[in-house]
Order: sequence, then structure tokens, then C-alpha cells
Amino acid sequence: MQKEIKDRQYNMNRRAFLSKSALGIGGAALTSLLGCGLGSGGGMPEQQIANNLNGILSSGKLHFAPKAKRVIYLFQSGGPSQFELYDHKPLLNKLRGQDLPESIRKGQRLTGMTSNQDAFPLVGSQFAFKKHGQSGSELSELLPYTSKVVDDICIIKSMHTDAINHDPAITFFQTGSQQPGRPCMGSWLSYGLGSMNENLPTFTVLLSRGTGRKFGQPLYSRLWGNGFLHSLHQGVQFRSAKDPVLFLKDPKGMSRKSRRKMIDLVANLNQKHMEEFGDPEISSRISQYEMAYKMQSSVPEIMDTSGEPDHIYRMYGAESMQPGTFAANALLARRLAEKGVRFVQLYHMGWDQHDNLPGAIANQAKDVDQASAALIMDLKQRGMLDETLVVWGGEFGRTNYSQGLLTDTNYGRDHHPRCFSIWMAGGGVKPGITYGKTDEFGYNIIENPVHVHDFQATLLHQLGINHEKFTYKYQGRRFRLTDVSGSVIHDILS
Amino acid sequence: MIELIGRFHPLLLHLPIGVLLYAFTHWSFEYFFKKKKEKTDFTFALSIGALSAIASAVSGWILASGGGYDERLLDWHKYLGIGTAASAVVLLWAYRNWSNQKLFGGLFTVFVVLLSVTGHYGGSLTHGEGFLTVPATTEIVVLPENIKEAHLFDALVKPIVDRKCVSCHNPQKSKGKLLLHTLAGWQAGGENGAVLMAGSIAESPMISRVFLPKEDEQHMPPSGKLQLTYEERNFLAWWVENMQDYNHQIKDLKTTTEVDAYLKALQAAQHPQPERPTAQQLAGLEQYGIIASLQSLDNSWVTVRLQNAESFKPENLKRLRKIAPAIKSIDISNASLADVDLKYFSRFENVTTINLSNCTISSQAITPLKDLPYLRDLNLYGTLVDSTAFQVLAELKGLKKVYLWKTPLANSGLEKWRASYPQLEIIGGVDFAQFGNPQLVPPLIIAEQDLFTDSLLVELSTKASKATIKYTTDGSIPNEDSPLYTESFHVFATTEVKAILSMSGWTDSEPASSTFIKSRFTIDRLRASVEPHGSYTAEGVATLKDLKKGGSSFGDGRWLGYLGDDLDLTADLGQVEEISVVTVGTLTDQNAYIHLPQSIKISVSEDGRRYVPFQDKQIPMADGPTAAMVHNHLIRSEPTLARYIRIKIKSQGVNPTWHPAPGEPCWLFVDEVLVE
Repeated sequence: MQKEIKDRQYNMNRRAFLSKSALGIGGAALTSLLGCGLGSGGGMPEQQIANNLNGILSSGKLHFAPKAKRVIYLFQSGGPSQFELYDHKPLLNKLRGQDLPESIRKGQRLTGMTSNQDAFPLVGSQFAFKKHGQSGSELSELLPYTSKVVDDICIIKSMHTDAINHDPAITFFQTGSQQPGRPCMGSWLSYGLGSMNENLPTFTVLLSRGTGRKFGQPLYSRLWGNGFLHSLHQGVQFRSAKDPVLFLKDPKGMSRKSRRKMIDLVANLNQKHMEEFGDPEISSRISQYEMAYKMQSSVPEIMDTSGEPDHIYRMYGAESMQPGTFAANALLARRLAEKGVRFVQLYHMGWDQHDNLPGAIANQAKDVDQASAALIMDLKQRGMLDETLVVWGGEFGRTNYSQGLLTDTNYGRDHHPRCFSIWMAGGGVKPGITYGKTDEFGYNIIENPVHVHDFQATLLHQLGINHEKFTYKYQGRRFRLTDVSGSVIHDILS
Repeated sequence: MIELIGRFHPLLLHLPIGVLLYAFTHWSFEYFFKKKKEKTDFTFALSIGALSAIASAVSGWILASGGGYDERLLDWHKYLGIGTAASAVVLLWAYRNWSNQKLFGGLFTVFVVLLSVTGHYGGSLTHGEGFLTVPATTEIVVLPENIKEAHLFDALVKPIVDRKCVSCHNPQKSKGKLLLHTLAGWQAGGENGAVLMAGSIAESPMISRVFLPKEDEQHMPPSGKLQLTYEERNFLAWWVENMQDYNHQIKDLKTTTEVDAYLKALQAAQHPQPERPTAQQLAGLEQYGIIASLQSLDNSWVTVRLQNAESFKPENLKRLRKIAPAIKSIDISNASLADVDLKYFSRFENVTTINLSNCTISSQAITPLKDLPYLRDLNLYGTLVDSTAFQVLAELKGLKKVYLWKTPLANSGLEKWRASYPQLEIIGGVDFAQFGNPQLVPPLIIAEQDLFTDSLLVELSTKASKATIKYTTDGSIPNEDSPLYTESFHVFATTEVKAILSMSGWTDSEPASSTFIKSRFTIDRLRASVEPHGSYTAEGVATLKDLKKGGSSFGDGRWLGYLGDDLDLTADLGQVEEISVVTVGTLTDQNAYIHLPQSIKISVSEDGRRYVPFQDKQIPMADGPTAAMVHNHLIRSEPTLARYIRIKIKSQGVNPTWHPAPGEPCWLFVDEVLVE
């Protein structure tokens, strides 16, 4: 009897191993040498085979009582300039045109775009700053609506990252590693927390293009990829076009009933297959078919915002009536959050102002300011802000000196990883505070630095997860979102 | 020595009370129930009682002379005590001499009453007035769920002192002339001056004396009294060292790990963990549409929500009875509840968060919530509650936030309620007026292409379902009187379509505008002097006459790109025509080093050999960056007969001086040559 069980375990795992492993035959030989320690009896006890929508940490296995149930991440792709938005540096206006002292730069590496520049003329913000709200947080005039919600948000001025170019930096923020291939934040959370609505994906992605730089850096769908986690956990992109989710619609002439029949039949076959081989990907596939079927009705319903009252559109701004804009996506984010989607990832592209910054950033800020603030207000009035963590920020900051020629009215800024600003709101984050400080030049952090891994650890903490214990074993190593570092920033938590 | 006798008062006083009460009980029992002749002799008991009563009175007198007691209470106790001692002697005498048992019984009863009253005054002196009548005088301070938000003095410091110090330092028994029952007393200090000095334990006798060895005379509380625990002592010390005033919240001060542990223990004591519900218990609720999940590994609290609010049957709420004490938060928003269904809620004794939003319930419904001391967040948005809800809300001591958007209550204005309940965060709706009358986004003008030879179908579109589109086809800006767009229309000539979007309460959009150009003549053949750059060849030079224009993205496959080169084009119309306009399209995108040409020179010929100038156009260079866009260069002249048209386009060659990379070779992007 024992032998049969062992054989079966072996059978199960050989298939799973072969289909997933990059080691190929050598790896297979190794497993047979090692015997069958990989079965349900050992090897990966902490990993569950994803055959349903429950997360690995749901049903009371979270490490802490969660403050937030879900996340809405307003990712500002391209690297918004902190100087024109959040981090006021009057000294830069005073020293305008003077060269950045080496004592400040201290050998910081440069991108290929400015490394051959002869001089690094300092340049301050062309936009005025003012204190707002009871908290007195300082914001630029480019963010008139965000200024109205400063008492609900926590501005972090001391973010820093390891990467200096767009794709590695976004990948770093999303997956904790600059190299592609690891699961992104949303996938981790889908894996850990599971779904709150069986009719919608746990992790959705909404994209918009900014007016600041229309044909700027593209985004790759691997940024919402599941990496080595089961494909069930990958982000589902909702598009603004006629088919919100690609390949979801039934072909013409196919009734819902016959689709149902087909899915049941395929599920049956797959189930048999699953019983025979035990490959976990088969059960993910069964769930995916089922999810797709449910989404055929749930997605059009959620994407149709025509039932929203006029004052809601007014609040998010006129663009919220225009599908595919940031404002429309922000409104959708609220609708998705209401329906129990765990992680709503927005990407707004076009923040990459290497040149023509003053004009472009003004447009870009106008794209997102009102809708971001409206989202906070809207979540608050519905009582959802306390349990929704909202994050606003890009992948890195920009330099305090001009890229290209500095003229009276024009300048540009290159990528700067040493400091930048983001904000967080809701989900147990202290409202109305500013955290961290940069030096007078806005080049280095002088107080309370927050690394990307610290940010990720804090985000997981608010969802009830200890980032050091939340791991997935793959290719012999336990991986986590925060890689090998990161600590929770308790000072910004209430 | 004399004083020592005084200290025996607390010991002695219990003797007469005990002995005489016993005698009274025994005597009464025999008087009422024992009918036989032989009765117990109480002489000895009454003698002991009388003697000890006298001893108590004497020692009491001595103790009182030490002072420090409430004079009024002390007087009563003193004279009643003397009276009691005297009466005890009288009682003994009466027992020995009176034969009337009934009369003696009456006297004995009166004596016992006197004894009790005296004892009560004594108790009031020691334990404080009201010790008997108000059993737990120290009010239970409800700690907020996040203890770091607790008011440090009121919620944590004062309760310790209330429990351990106030019994001697109160208006009745102001030992050391120090009163600790109110903050004013703390600040006033005692007979030796101030008792607290922020930042210094040494100068804060109230704290330093707590740390003295128990044997020390100065040690507080005096031995025999309830002592402070080790943790309480250290907590008070930490507080004094870090405090600046009495208004801190814990989070204002930097805590130590020891303090954190103390706070955590306090919190746990006040919110004892319920029994951890079993997995089966929780799973069993799913069939009733209830998702109940344990919060985390480190606690036993349960979060409850509904699987599908629309189809939830409210009577299923009673299924939560078994796990009711474990429920920390419950969300039944959007469910169709009746007021009466909330009766089950009074069982959720530990709940902190309740979400009833969008349930059709009235103020009556929330009455059962009155019994929930830990309720902190209550979401009533979208319900029918009116101002009577405050009768319940006001009673909820732990309540911090209440959501009232879209309720009859909110509609009548929340400001006055905010003023009446400043401790409560009342969240209404967003003030929509702050968004003004925002400007609409222009409608889209959609056509398959913007160049055509015969006719073209134009569609105007918007996603704003309640908005209307007004448009013109004559180049003027549309206004109220312009035609209302209802369906797509055809254009038959070169037309500039302009459209605006309007909606009531919104500002009209900027006009959207598109020009659709009709090409009169088709170009038969087209030759170019140079090949385009290998990356931007599109369909070759024929791309320029395919009536499909490139868009604002240089990579869309419709543009021909030339790096640094000038371009000469020769078009052959196939036969001699009368031409008046030549249009050349180019692209600018400074980020991609694509600029306007310097000039376009056109000459024409009837035979392909002799060319005569038609028209030149010098194009001024932009003096700064602009957005990426398509430029149509219309070059007009007197109608001229021609079959061949030669177009010389001079490139900028290199980036201008203001460009981020000045002097680098730049691009010329061309698409579409039209002749009219």
C-alpha cells in the first residue's frame, strides 16, 4: 500500500516538476534520485495547490489582524518629478543655473541620457507651493484637488530605489527584483489573500496614457504577471475598448446555455485528467474557465458606469466619462473595490519629462489630480477608505538639475533614484502627515529613508502579512516580495 | 507610644462589632425560637463587647488626633463611637438588671443600629464616602482599539492613581493635604508643594516615593494598602520622564518595549480574547450566505461579511449566535433588512465595526446597538436614519466614526451635530459644489480617413450619455443655434467639421475640429530623390499618394522618415491639369528628433523638362518644444496648368539650439502629397 502511495506521489510530482522546471531532464533525474520527498507529505508544505479561490493565508492564517482589505495602486509610470509636485526646494530656485556641487552628488551614477552633459545646472520648480489643510502639508499649485485631501493622505518624501531606468525600476516596485520573472505585488496578494468575489478576478489592471508625453515608455504585461505563482494569480487587464477583457466574449450565435454546457464538459475532462496526473496547472485551468464564464456577465456590468450619478462624474472630472482616461479608471477602481476586488492596479503613463518639463508636467498633473483626490473623497464618504490602502507614486524621482538646456521658461529632468515622493492613504496609514526629509538640494535623503522593500513590507503589513514569512518555494529557494530586506515603517501607521 | 495605641484602632474596632453582633444574633435566636427555660448567659459576651468598645473609642480618639481626615465625618464618627462605647456599658447593665425581655430586646436592637451607623462612618473615613453606595467608583475607561491613540493621562495614568492612591487622597481623607481625585488636585500638590515635575522623577515625589523600599516610612502607598505593580510603577515613571503636559496621546511620546508590553497587556485585559471559533463553525455559515473568517493567527476575532447581499436572508443572522462574542467586525451592507432584523446585533458584544450602508433601515433599527460598548465605526451611509439616531449614537461611548452620507439626517445638515458631538467624527458626503461646473471633454470626430476622393462618412461620438453634440461644417465655432448631431453624415467637399459637447450643469467643451480634404487629382507616378531611412520606409514612396495620412505617432507605418537628408519629389498627374493648391504633410515630435522642414519649394511643368516656379514656402522653426503633431503645409498659387510637379523639401538637418541634444542629426517625416 505504502508503495502505491509513493508511486502516485512520484507520478504527480514528476509531471508538475517537468512542466515547471527549467532544469529539464537533469532535474527530473535528480527528483528520482531524491525519491519522492516532494509530495503532500513534505517538500512544500506551505504551498497550496491553487484549485480554488481561497488564499494561502485566508481563513485565519494571516500573521496580523489586517487593517486594509484591499489596495488601489495609482501607479504613475515614468517617474513624476517630486520638485514640481511634492518636495518644495526654494534653494534650487535661488541657485538656478549653478552647477550641482560634487559634494552633493557624491558620484551618483547617471543615465546614458545625461552622462555626457558638460554641466548640471540646478533648477527649482516653476510652480508655487502652498501649505494646505490642518496638517499644513506643502503641495504645488499643480495639484489643487490633491491639496483638498492632504489631511487624509500621508506624503512620503524619502522614497528611494535601486534602479535608474524605467523598466527595471517599475519591475523592482512591482516584484521586488529588477530582473523580470518574479510575481508582482497583485499576484502575491491574490495568492495570499484570495478572492472576495468569485465573479471577478482578484487582481485587475487598468491602463491610461497621459497627455504629458503621449508616446512615452511602454509597459509590458509581465508587470502584472504571476511569475512562478500559479497563472490563476496573474492580473487581468480591463481595457477601455469594446471588449474590456480580450477573448472573453462568446462568438456570435453561441448561447450562454451552450457555453455553460461546454465549460462543464471541459471541466469534467480536465478533472479526470487532473485525477490521473495531478498537475496543479490543470486545476488552475478549470478555475480559469469558470472565472471567464462568470466574467462574461460581471465585467460588462462593472465597466458600464452610465448608472453613476452626475455629481460623481463631476467629482472625478469630465474625463471620467471618457473611457480609457485616468479619471475613468479611478472611477472604475472604486467600483471594482466595492465589488470586492483585492488589488486594483492603475498605470498612468507619460511622467517621463526629460525635456519640456513645465508644460508637460502641468498637463500630466491635470490628468490625475482631480480624479486621485476624488477617489479618496469617494471612498471616504462610503466608509471604504479605512479598509482600502490607496497608493500614488511612480518608480523613481527626477534630478534637481536640468537635462538639456536650461532656458528662462524651459527645462527637463533626468531619472533620479536617490529620493522621490509618493503618497499613501487609508488602510491604517496615518492621515495628514509628511514623512521623511530630503536635503536642501533635494538630492539626498536626510531623515527617515524608505526603501522600495520597506514600502512593500509596509503594504503587506497593512494587509495582515508578515513579509518575512510570506514565501513561495521555487527552484529550491524560498522567494518573497521583499527579497531579502525591508522593514515595516511603523511610524506612518496609525 | 500614645500614637501606637492609636494605630491599634483598626484592629480593636472589629472586636465590639463582631462580639456584640454575635451576641445579638444568638440572643434573638433564643428569644424567638428556643422555648425551653434554660437560656445562655450573655454576661461574658456583653462584657467583652463593652470593654473592647471602650478600647476602640480610646484608640480611635488618639488616631484622630493625628489629623488628615474629613472633619465633618470624623466628628460624627468620634461622638457616635463614644456613644456606642457608653451604650455598650448601659446594655450590660440592663441585661443584668432588667427582667422584661421585650424591653431589653428593644434596647439591644437600638444599640445594634447605633453600632452599625458608627461603623459606617468609620468605613467612610477610611475608604472614602460613597464607598458603600457606589461600588466601583473608578470609572472604566474604554481604551480605543488602537491604544496609541488613547489619551495618556485620562485613560492610562489617572486610572492607576484612582485605583491605588485616591482612597487616601480625596476630599474626605486628604492625607498630606494632597488631593488626587481631579487633575486640579495633581497640579495643586500637597502640603510639601508640587508632587509632579515633568521630565524629572527625582523632583516628582509622587513617583519617587513609589520606588522607595516598602519598609521606608515615605513609601507610597503605605504598607498594608494596595500596592502598585512593578509594571504600573515603571509606566508612571516613563510617563513622568517623557511628559510635557497632561494632554498627550501615547503616540506623541516615544515608547519603550517595556511600555509597549504593558499597553498590550492592558488592551488584552480590557478586550479579552473570545473562544476561537472552529473551522467547522465558520464553514457551516457559508451555506447561509455568511462569510465569517478569522482575522489572523495572533487573535481569535472574526470578520463577517455576506457572500451576496442581494439574496441574503436576514433571519440567517441568528446563525451567528454561537460565534457572536468573537465577532469584531460585521459588514452586511446592501442587504435588504428590516429594522427588526438588527435585534441580533446586541449579541455582538465585542464588535468594533459595523457596516449597514445601503440597508433600508430607520433610526429605530439601531437601538440594539446601544449595548455594544466597543463599537467604534458605524457605517450608516445610504440608510434612512434621521436625527433621532443620535439618541442611540450619543450613548455609544466608544464610537469614533459614523458615516451618514445619503441619509435623511445628512440632508438636514450635519454641522450642528458635529458641534454637539465634537468627539465623534461625522462623515457626510463630499461637497460637490467645490468641483464647480467643469468643462466637458470635446466629442470625437470619427471618419475612416481624413483624405477622400468622392465622399466621406463622418461620425461624432461621446461617452457622456446625457450630453448633446452641436456641430458645424463651415469652419465656424458651434454655438447653441448650431445643428444638433443625431446621426452620422456625409461630406462631399473639403470640409472643416467642428463640434462641441453640452450638458446641463456643465461648461460646454472646447470645440473639436477635424479637416477632411478632398483630393481632386490623383497622382499617377511619384519619384523621390533619396530613399527613406531603412526604419521608416512604410510602403515606399507610393505611401505619399495612397490617401492615407500618417497619425501623430511616427511609428505608425504611414510615414517616410529621412535622417538629415533633404527630399525632392516629382509627381506626375498623368495629364495636364489646372492646379491651385499643393498640400504636403510633415510630422513634428521633438522627443524623437523630428522637426518641421525649413522650406518647401514647388515648381511645375507641362512637359517634364522646363519647370516654372509655382510657389515657395519658408517655414519658421518653432522656438521651443511643442507637442507631437501633424502639420499640413498648404501651398497655394494662381491656377496654373501643369502635369509635373516638383517639390523640394529642405530638412533642418540638425536639432535646433534649444533642443536637449542640439546639433544632433534630425529627422524629416513626410506623408501625403495632395494636389487640388
